[in-house]
Amino acid sequence: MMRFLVALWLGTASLLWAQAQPAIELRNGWMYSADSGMVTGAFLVIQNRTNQPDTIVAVQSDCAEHTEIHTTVRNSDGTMGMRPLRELVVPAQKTIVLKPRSLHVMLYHLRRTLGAGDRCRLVLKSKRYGDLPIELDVRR
Amino acid sequence: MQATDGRTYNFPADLRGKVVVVSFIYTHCPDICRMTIGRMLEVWEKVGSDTGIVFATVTLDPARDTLGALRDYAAVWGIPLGRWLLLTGTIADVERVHEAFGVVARKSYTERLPSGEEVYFVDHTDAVFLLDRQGIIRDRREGSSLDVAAYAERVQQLAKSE
Repeated sequence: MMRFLVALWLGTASLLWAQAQPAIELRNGWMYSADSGMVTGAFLVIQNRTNQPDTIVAVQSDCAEHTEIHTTVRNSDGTMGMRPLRELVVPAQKTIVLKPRSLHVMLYHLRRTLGAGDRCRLVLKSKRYGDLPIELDVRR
Repeated sequence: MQATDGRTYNFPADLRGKVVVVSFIYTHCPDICRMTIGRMLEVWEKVGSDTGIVFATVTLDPARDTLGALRDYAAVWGIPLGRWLLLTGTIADVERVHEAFGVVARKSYTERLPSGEEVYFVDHTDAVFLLDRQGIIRDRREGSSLDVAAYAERVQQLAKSE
């Protein structure tokens, strides 16, 4: 009887824990400081906890006039550059890290100067889950 | 080349007599150049008190990087203007400097934003250079992934040896 109760409690606890976890989790969001009107990059972690792939189809922010997902590329001649991505697929049960020298969110024409310690809200548009918001810490 | 200290330089010849740390950035670059400048600031913290060392950052995008844009960039990043020069000039002058260092900078793609504005980015070499007091390149390495401690040591070594 005791074993049954413990198993029941563990089962219920793990179910509640799973329900408390978002299907797509965004965390560790930050961006580089920049002047009003300038461009800057933002970075974060996207974790897909589900058994289905999801796609980020757009990004929006009140802090900037226009926002895109970019990737950094190294060309055959050794030069570095950026290219926009139409969408970003997050495979099932995988985590994607947007980080410097790699994938990043590009914010065009900041609406105000953002310095270290400021915050900026970013919304990722998920094909399956709609708006996914995250607060970014601004770093120098 | 025009510099943020208000003077005009025949760069890098006019800095002979100093050890010069040279980097290349453009102010509309949100990733690689940010990392390079971040690393350069950390190097500056370690070696900047040595008055025999000068930092020089040259634009990769002279069409947009006016002196005003470079000064604003320095303010946002806390670049200590003085012995750290940010340099721009005519497209021909800037290209001449790029060529002297073997640096490539070219428009990579142009995009029209929903506002109708056309923007572009620059594919570019990711490198920082160390010049001795005779203006000879003594070190070249990737800027955005720089090992700050090792590089600062290299700069100090060169400054002491001359």
